[in-house]
Amino acid sequence: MEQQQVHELVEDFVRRLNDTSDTEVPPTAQLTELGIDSLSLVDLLFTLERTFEVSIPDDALPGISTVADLTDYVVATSR
Amino acid sequence: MWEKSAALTMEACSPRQGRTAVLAAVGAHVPSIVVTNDDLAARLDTSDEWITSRTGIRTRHVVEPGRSTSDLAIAAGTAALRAAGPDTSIDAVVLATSTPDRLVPATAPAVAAALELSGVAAFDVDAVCSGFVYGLAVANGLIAAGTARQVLLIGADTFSTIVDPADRTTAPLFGDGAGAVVLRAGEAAEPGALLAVELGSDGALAELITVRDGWFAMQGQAVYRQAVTRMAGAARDVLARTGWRPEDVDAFVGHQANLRILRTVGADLGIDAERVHANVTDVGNTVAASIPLALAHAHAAGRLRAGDRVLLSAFGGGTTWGAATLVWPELG
Repeated sequence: MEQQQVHELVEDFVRRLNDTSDTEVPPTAQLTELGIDSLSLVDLLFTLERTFEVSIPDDALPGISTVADLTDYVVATSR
Repeated sequence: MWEKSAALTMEACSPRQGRTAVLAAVGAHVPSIVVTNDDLAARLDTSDEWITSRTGIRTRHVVEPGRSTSDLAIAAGTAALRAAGPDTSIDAVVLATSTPDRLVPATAPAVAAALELSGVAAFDVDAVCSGFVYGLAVANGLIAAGTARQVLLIGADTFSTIVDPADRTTAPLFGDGAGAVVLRAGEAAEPGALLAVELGSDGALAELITVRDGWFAMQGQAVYRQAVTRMAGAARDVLARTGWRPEDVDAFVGHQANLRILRTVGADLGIDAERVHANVTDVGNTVAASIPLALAHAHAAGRLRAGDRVLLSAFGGGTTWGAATLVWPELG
């Protein structure tokens, strides 16, 4: 799948989480600075896993801190 | 002599006759001390908003000084026995708990004795937050084997005794309490019959939920993920075995860990929020007491009606998980 599809899902998740429609979600942003705490991250992972039929195991999480880290991981594992 | 052999013959003809566990009564007890989020915010670096938005928990009950798990279990057991009526004749007491009064002996015999049931089988089951569902399977087994005709199953825990009161990540989550059910031998086709139970465990993840250096310790993020995955998975399995679809479920009574897990599991299964029962807001996570307490509170509030198709699902330390199904019976 395309990087853009994954990014749009993350963007939509962040906007719903923060209850806004215009939050900027640049690929370089840290997930934590977008309001994604440890439990919200799990919700986001569930959504990504379900939507794109990928698996993001716990041991992959230390390498994921920005939006791009996450979208790259999803795109890479889906191939 | 003649009567006895007749009974044996009848059993030989239909060994399953009247040997399914059927729910006959529920009871609950929470201790009188209530701790609010503001009480916690007064002594910890936290706030009502922070706790409520992340967990949905607003209050929890804490055991009174000098009382312990057995006292809560006895109170809930008394309530369930009273609800079951004067003809009740219990022949086994099963106590699901991870905070027994002592390491040795088990707490259930003391509970049984206090309930004037000395002489009956009595033992503890420990599967942490899945303890009650494990207990249901054990009680069902005792009844199916003909070892017992009526079982008092209690879930009781006092995590306030093992949670570090100075730990803002765990102290808000837990409450003390007890819930109890009476299960009697009956027919698989009658309301209240336990229709199916699923159990599982993964000891490789024992460190996720444990006691370390004397205090309860939990890896929140990993637990959240495992809890949702396992509770939903066990629920799917038990629904398939029961022959129900998620849309057939009238009430999902999951382990009350926090509101977020319950709603996420519900959403994952396709069970909308109105059918997800929660009392975690008022009592917190009461561990093995959580499901029977939620059942008793929902029943008392009239939110569980005779004929409702009820789905139970739990995840806990071990790690362990389990799920069960039943049709809610007419209860007094």
